[in-house]
Amino acid sequence: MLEAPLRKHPDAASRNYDGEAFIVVPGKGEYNILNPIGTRVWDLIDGQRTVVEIARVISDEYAVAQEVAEADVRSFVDDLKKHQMLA
Amino acid sequence: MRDAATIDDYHPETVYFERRLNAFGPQALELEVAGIRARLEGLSSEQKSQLAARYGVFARRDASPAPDLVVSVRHADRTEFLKLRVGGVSETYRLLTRFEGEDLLAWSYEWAALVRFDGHAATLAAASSDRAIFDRCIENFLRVAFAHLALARGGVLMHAAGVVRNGRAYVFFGPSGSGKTTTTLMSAGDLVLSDDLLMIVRDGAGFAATSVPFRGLVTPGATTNSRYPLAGLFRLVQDDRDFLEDLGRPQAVGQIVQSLPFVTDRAESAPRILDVVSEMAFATPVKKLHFRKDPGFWRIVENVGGSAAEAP
Repeated sequence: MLEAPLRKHPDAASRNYDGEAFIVVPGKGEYNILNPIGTRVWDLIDGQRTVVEIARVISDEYAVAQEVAEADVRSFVDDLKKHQMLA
Repeated sequence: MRDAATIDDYHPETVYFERRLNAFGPQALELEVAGIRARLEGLSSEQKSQLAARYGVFARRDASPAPDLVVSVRHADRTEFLKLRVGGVSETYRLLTRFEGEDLLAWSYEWAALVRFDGHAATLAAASSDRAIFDRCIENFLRVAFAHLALARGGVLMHAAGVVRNGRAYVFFGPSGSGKTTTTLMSAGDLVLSDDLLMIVRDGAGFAATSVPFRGLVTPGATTNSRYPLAGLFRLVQDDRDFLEDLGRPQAVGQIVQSLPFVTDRAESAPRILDVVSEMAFATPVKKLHFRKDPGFWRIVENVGGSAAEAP
């Protein structure tokens, strides 16, 4: 079964500061700050890429096995969903 | 399921403001806060005098040809909008807002307003001419309006205390109970801009802080409407010793955003808020101030910021 591409929450606003993404979803009363790898994943969520495709980029850029990258990206994406940062 | 009290809330739509509501009188009063002008029209002579006395240095004698906001103050045709919940624990003051396009609807217990920012016009329907209630309506509406007007101008209304020392403004912020009022009480001899709410505005390449006229009914009014260059923004943390802790840029932005009332619920405003706060955090030192409840913190605070703003 094909996975759907990941999309950011339409109300999420973000800025990158020194390699760390600051993300706020209005009305949620909280903000989130991502570390550099999380920021890279966040930047790759463009409504076109799936988890597997994002993991492939991370695997290449950080020289980690695809399976490891995929597991980490899925876990991270679950966190983003928990904080309502994804559509 | 809503409780019985909320079932009786009246939530105005924009069509409510198309009704023919009566003005209280023919008088007008202009207020200016950090260069932002709002004219209140439809006041009685008594209301104008009372509001002018209340807002002191912020009340203008001259009329601007193009105020940033012209507010038509009208007598609402109902005695309340939101219903005050009775019985049990007293409720937190409720003020609701909703945007319809670029127009802002705001309402509370005894007032409701429609602000058309594009047209620089607003209608404020106040449910009572009783002085205390009327003043409260005006006050609470203006807080919301000026928060949005400040943001449009690249500044912010901020829950913060501000103290001026040697011509520079030191802004102390944090959640309720963090010590904002304490910092002002520990600043004998300095000019206190506010212990709760102030405005930060662009000032050349940097930012400046200024008092605002908004206060509780018993708090003394500000004595100056001047702006003072921002020396630093300090997130308060009560501790058993005084020291400064560096804040990373994302943390600094987040802490400041959490201190902005009225503007952070609207998704469309979020990018603008981040732009403005980012520039503030780049132009001004933002630190965590761990402090004891005595004036000793000034020894470590007053040298922050040097004599020039940091370059972005």
